[in-house]
Amino acid sequence: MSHKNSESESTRDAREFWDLRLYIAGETPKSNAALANLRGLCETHLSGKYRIEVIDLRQNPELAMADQIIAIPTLVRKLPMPIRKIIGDLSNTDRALVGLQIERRIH
Amino acid sequence: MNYENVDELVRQNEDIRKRLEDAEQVIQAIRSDQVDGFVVEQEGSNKVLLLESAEGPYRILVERMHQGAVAIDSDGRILYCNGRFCEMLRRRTDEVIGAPVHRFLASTSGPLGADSQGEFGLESADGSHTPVHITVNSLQDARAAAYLIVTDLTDHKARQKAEQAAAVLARELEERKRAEAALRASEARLAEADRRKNEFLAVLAHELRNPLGPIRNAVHVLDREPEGPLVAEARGIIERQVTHMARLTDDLLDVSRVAAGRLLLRRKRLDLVQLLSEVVEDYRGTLEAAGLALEFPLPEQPLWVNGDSTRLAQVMGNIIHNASKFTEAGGRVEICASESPDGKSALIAIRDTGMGMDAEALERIFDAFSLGARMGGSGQEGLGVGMALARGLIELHEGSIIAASEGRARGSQFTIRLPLLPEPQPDAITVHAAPALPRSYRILVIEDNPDAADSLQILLRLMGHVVKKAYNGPAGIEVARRFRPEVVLCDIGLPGNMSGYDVAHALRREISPGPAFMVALTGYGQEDDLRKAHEAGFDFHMIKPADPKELEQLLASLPV
Repeated sequence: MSHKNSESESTRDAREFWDLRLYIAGETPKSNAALANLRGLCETHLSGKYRIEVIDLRQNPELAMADQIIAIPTLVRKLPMPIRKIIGDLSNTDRALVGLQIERRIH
Repeated sequence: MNYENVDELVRQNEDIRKRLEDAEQVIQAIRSDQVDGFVVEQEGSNKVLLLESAEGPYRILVERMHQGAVAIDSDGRILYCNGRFCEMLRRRTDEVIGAPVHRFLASTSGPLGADSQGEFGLESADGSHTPVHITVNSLQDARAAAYLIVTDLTDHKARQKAEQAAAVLARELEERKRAEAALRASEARLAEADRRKNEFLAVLAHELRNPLGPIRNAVHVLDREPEGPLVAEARGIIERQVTHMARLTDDLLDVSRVAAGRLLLRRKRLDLVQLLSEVVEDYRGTLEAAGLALEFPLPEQPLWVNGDSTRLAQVMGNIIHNASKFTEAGGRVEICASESPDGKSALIAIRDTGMGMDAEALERIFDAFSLGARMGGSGQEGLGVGMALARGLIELHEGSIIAASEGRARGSQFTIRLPLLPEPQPDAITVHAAPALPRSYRILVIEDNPDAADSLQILLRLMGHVVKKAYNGPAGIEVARRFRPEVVLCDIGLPGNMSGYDVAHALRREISPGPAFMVALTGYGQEDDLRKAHEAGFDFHMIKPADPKELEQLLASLPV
């Protein structure tokens, strides 16, 4: 079963909008950590223009096929194109930003 | 191998490159301990395999806690929370993880401080609030800044509320019980007062009727033998019975005056020891006739009080009279006067060895209508107003009176306490002028009631004074111009538009030299009348009808 969390739907501009899908396995420490890190990262760098969809593979393992998930947690960037994948709990913020190709917001 | 389609080859190559990239990423993630689950294919379907970490047992412990457990980073973002916390929020874990913790605190709650604790409201998904207690503990950890322990207070609050409600209810019940008890007590008191009043009226009728029999008999005797030897005896009977009735009615009137605050005291500095001695002397005969021994050690020092000698004598006489009445022959009456240990009061104690009182009677002895308090079915007569009157009079003197008894047949003691005056100045004590011969004054009586005016004129003439009278204010002033009275006795309630006050004003203003001494006569004895009379120029105030004895004393004491 997948849960759709629409934390922001204010802008739907394809170039500006980030559609993210996080694959987790229940409430394992890494799954929790990945979710926490992702939310923090999005609020900081993508505020107001992202959506996170959380997919629990323990509830629904077949959904792993769609994005060819091997390890958990894995984050998939659906938008903007092209699709990108980041494996791990996103605890290394720099690596996560590079992987998602997000420009660091300059304060 | 057939490489006809280069595009296909490039596409495959790209696919392999991505898979390789994924594999490299997976290996890197595993090495840096960032994954704890894998998707594996088994018998044609996917399964999730989880890595058991060393912290597994702790996680179970934390998950099963009754409290909510939450780890937050330095921005207040939730890094981890247990299931209990999500239950309190009625949200799924993935909705909670990563969110700032303050989003779940009710807006009325204050901020969470580091290493603090307190009560907060948790806002659930459905908007309802859950009261919680939160403890914040700082952590020295690379990622988590603090952990929170969240305790649901709903049950606790409910219990507290129930306890409070129970307490309120208990209090209300208690108050109601008290009110009911007070009501019952007051009803009982009313019923008791009513019963006593009826009893009193019955005895009063009896008491007033009693003397009539002997009086009627005596009148018969006088009718039949107006000149015989029984005349003196018949007169004596009538005199005694009338005195008794007069005393009875006087007491009754006095009690009602005291109760209504209408009784005026004529107070002056007096020696209580002297007064007591006189009263005791008056009763010595009565006590002896009743077969009672009297002990009265006279104190050496006088006890000065500011009192009405007639009223104080009345009180002391009443108590001594009772002592003789309620003590059987062979008993003893002890009377003593002393100064209280603190030197502020004069004490008079009157003790007898008579029938005494039980506690109930003691409690009611000073209430009006408490007849029977000391009667005990012994057939002793009495209306029971004497003690009420005694207390009223003593209280008018700013004093107190108490009764004590160790019980029936064990005697009674009454103690009167009156405030002492300071010792008089030495030169004031010894002024005992020899009683001067009664002087003759020119006296004007102004009084609209002819009978009263005439009788007063006769009385004053018998005392040796020159007396003229007038029946209204203007006539009085006219007489005064010619007659030049030294003393004026003037009624206040005069007919016409000139009251006694106006007369006094006019006499003081228009006639020179005016009367040396003016006495107001009124039917009332209110404080207000006293003040008005004084303001109008009156020197003295007497309540009508003026007591001849008092009038004689007053005239004898005039300074001119």
